[in-house]
Amino acid sequence: MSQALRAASIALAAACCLNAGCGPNADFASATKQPAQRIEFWTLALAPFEPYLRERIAAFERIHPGAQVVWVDVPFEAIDRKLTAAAAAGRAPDVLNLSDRTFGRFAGLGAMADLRPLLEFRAEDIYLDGALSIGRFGNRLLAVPWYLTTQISMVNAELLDRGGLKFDNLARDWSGLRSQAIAYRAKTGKHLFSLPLGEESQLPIIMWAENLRPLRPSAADGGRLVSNLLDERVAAYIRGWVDFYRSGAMPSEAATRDHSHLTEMYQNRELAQIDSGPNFLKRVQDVAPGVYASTVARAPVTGMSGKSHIATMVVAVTRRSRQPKLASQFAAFITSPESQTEFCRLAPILPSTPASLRSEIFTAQESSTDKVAAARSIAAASLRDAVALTPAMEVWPDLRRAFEESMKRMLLDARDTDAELRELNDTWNAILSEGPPAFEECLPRLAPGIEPAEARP
Amino acid sequence: MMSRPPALTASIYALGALLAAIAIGPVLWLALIALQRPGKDLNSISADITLANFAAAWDKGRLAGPLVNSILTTLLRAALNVLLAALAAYPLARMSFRGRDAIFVLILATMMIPDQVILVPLFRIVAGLGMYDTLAALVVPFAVSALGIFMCRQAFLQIPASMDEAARIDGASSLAIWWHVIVPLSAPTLATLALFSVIGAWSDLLWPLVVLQNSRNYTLPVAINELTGAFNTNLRLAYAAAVLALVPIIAAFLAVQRWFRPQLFAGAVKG
Amino acid sequence: MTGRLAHRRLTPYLFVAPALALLAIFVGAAFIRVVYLSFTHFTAFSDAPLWVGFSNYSAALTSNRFWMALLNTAAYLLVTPALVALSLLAALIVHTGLRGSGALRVTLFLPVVTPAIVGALAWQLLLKDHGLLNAALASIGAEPIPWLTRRPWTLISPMLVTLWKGFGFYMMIFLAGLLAVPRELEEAAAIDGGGRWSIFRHVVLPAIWPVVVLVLVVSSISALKVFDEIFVTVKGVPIEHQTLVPLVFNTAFEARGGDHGLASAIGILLFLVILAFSIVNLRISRRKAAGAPA
Repeated sequence: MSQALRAASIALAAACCLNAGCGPNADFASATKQPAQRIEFWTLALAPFEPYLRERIAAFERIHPGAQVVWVDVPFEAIDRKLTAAAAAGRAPDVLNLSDRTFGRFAGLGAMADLRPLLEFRAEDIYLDGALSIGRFGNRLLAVPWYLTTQISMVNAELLDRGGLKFDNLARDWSGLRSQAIAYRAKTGKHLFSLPLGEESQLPIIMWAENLRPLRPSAADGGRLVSNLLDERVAAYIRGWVDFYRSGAMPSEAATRDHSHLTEMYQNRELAQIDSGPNFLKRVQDVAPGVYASTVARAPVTGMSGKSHIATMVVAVTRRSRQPKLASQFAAFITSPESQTEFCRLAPILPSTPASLRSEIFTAQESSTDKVAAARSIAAASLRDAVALTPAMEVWPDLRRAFEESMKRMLLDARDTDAELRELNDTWNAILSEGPPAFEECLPRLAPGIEPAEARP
Repeated sequence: MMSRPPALTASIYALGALLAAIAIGPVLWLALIALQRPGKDLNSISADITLANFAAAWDKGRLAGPLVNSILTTLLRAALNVLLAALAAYPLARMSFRGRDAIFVLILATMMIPDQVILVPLFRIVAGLGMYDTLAALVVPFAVSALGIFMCRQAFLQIPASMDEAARIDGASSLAIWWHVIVPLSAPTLATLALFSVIGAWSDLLWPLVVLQNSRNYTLPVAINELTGAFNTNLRLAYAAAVLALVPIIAAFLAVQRWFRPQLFAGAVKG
Repeated sequence: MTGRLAHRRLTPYLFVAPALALLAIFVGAAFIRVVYLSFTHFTAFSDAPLWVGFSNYSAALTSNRFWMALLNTAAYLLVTPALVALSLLAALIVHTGLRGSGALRVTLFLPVVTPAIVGALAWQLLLKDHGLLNAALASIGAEPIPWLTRRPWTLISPMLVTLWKGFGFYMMIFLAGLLAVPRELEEAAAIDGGGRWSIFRHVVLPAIWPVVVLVLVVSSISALKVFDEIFVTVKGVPIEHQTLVPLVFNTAFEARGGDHGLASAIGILLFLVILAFSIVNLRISRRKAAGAPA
C-alpha cells in the first residue's frame, strides 16, 4: 500500500475511534439529535428525592404526549459554575430550580424568561404572596416559588451539659447566644455554635431580623435605597460579630466556609448548637447516630424581632429555552398544589401553595417520638414567625457578595473594622447607583408571617 | 574510592527515611482517616477500622462510571500523544522539505502558550465543535503536545542516519522506517512521554471541571471534587474516594517502575 | 518514478498533518481567539461579543483583585528554590547507591503519580485547625497555625502541596544529571586531596549546573500556572488570597455571569508575565552557563 494511503487510513481509523460510542454509559460523541419536545430540568441538591421526581416527570409526560423531560440534579456549590458553563456552551437547561439566593444572581443577568405571558393562570391565585415576591421583578415574573424551608435549631444536649448549660436555659436570640458561647468556651474550650459569616453570610439576613436596616431610603432622590451601613447601630452590630469571632468563640471555619461546615462540625461534636433545615436531622441520623441520640430540636434562633428566615426555592424558565411554552407548563406542573402536597409528605419542607397547607400532614404532631417528624412540625409552627428576609432587589446578590468579601477581610486579615465598613459603604452605594432603582417596598416586611391554618389563596 | 564515615552514612539513611515518610505520610494519614468509623471525630484515629466508607464512596459517589471514564480518556490521550508526536517529529528530524523550519518554530511557539491562558476560548471552540459534556472533549484538544513533539525529535536526532539509509536501501517506505527503525530505537523516550501523558491526564481537574456537565461523564477528580462540596457533610466519603482514585495509578506505576530509570530523563538533561 | 517522487514530497506533510491540525485548532486558534475576546465584553449569557477596546484591560489593571493575585503569583515563586533544593538533596541521597536507594527512588516518586486532588485533600486534612500538624505543634508547646484561613499561610499551604508533589519528579532529572557526571572527574579530585564537600562544590555542582538551571526554569513556570492545589486545599478563602489562574477560572466560570472578556484579558496578562519571566530566565541562564560558579 502506498505511504499516503497508509497514513490516511491511520488517520481515518483514529477519527473513527474518536467518534464511535465507546464506553459503557458515557457520552463519547456529541449528543444525537434531540426529539422535538425535549426539555431539560435542573434541580438543586434533590438527588435523595429521585423517586418522587421521576414519578412527577412520568405524570407530566403522560399529560403531554411527545414531551420528554431530562432531569439533572446539581449540587449546591456547583450551580454557579455549571449554569455559567452550560449557558456559555449554549446548553442551558429549559427549566431551572434555584434557591432564592442563586436565583437573584442570575435573574439580574437576563437569564430568565418572563413567565406572565407563558402561564395559563394567574400566579397570585395559586401561590403565597410572600413566596411569589421573590420572583417578581417590576411587572415581570421571572420565577414561580416551589418549596419553602425554615430552619430549626438542633442542640446536642450532652455537649451542652458539659458546658454547664441546660437546654431550657439556652438563649433563643443571637446576642444571648453569643454571651453564652463565650462562657461556654471559657469552661470547655470548645465552640457553642457557629454561623457562616464570610461565605453565604447569614449576617445580611439576620440584621433584618434584629430590627436593623442595612439599607434605607435616601432623603432625596425620590426615596431610592442607599446604604445604611454607617448607621451607629448597624455598624456596632457588625463590629460586635467581628469582635466575637476574633475572641475565638467562633470556629475559624465561620469565616471561610458556607453552611455545610455547621452540620459537619455538629456531626463531629465540635458544635453544640446549629440552625439548619430539618432535613439535616435525617442526615445526622445517618452519619452520626451517637450525636443524633443526644440531639433535641427546637425553634430556630431569632433576632430581636422574634422572626426567622424562610428560604424559598423557585423554579424558572431560561430565556434561551427552545421550548418556552412546554417548559413553563412543566414549571407550573412541578409547583402545583398537588405536586407540592405530595412532596411535603416526603420531606420536611413546606409548600408555597396555600391549598397544600390545608392538608392533614400539617396538623401538629408536636409530641411525636420520631424526631424528624417532630422537627417538621416545629418547622411548620415556626412558619408563623418566619419571613422572607431577603429584599426583592436585583442587586441584592451583589451587595451580599461585597459584604462577604468585606467580612472575610475583617475576620481573616484583621482589617480595621471602621475603615473596612466605610469602604463597604462606598461599594454598596456604587452598586446601588449602578443598578435599577429600588425603593422601600423592596425591603423585607416584618409583618406577621404566614398562618398555616388560615392561609387564604 | 573514598569510604564514607559511618556518621555520614547514618545521617544519609535518616534523611532518606524522613523524605520517604514525607512522601507517603499525608496519603497514608488520609487512608487511615477514611478507614475510621463514621461519627467519630474527623481528626482522630483508633484501631477500630471499617471499610464501610470505601463501599459508601463507591456506591453513593457512583465512582464506577468516573473510574471507567478516567481509564478510557487517560489511555486514549496517552496513546494519541505518543503516536502523533512520534509521527510529527519524524520528518522534522529526518527529512528536509519546504517549510520544515517554519513548522518547527510554529510548533515550538505553541509551547509558550499555557493551557490556563486559553481556557476560555478553548472552552468555546470545544463547545462549538459539539464536544461540550463529552469525553471527546477530554481527549481531542490534548491529543498532542508540542513538548512531546520536541522530546521525540530530540530522541530521533540521536539515532544515526545510517540506520535509516540501510533500511531505505532495502526498499522500505518512510512509514516502514518509522515503524521498524525509529520507534523501537526511541522506545525509552516514547515511554517517558507516555508516562507523563498518563500522569497528566489521570490527574486533570480544571478542564474536566469546566467542560463536563452530566455526572455520568465525570472523571475521577471531578467526582471526588463533588464529594467535597457543600452539602456533602461526610468528608470521609471524599477521602475514601480519593484513596480509591489513587489505587489504579499507583498500581500501574509500580508495575512499570522497574523500567523507569533516571536514564530516561537523560534526553531532557542533554537538551 | 514520478509517482514515488510525488509520494515522497507529500510524505513529510502527511506525517505532520494530524499534530499540526490539532495544535492549530486547539492552541493556535484558541490563542488568537483569547486575544480577540480580551477586547470584547462577552459573558456566558451574552448573545454575541461586543467590542470594547481596552476596557477589560483597564478594569483588570485597576482592580485590587488583579494586583493581589499578581502579587500572590509572584510570591508563589518562592516555592521554586525550595523545590530545587529538596529534589537535589533527594537525588544526592538516592545517588549514593546505598542499600534501599532503589526503593527510595520509587517511593519518592509516588507523590508525582498521585492526582493533585488527592494530594490536596490529604494536605488539607493535615492542615485543618484541629488537624495533625497543629496537634504536633501543640505537643511541643507551640501555637496552632491557621494554615487554611489566614495570610500568609493560605499561600504557604498550597506551596507545601506543590513541593510535596513535585520534588520526586525533579529528583529524577537531577539523578539523570548526576549519572552523567564522569566518575573520573570525581576520582581525580579525590586524588588531588579534595574533601567530600569540596568535590561536591567544585566538580559535581558545576557539572550539573545546567540541570539546576533547567529545573529552576521549568519549576518556576509551573509555579506561575498552579491551579489544583489552590482550588482544593484552601477552598473558600477570599479571592484576594489566590493567584492568577484561579482568578481566571473564577472570573470566567464562577463570578456572576461568567465574564469571558475580562477572564481573557487576565489570561493574556498572565501570558505576558510568563513570557517576560521566560525571557529573563533564558538570559540569566545563558549567562550563568557561560560562567558557572567556580
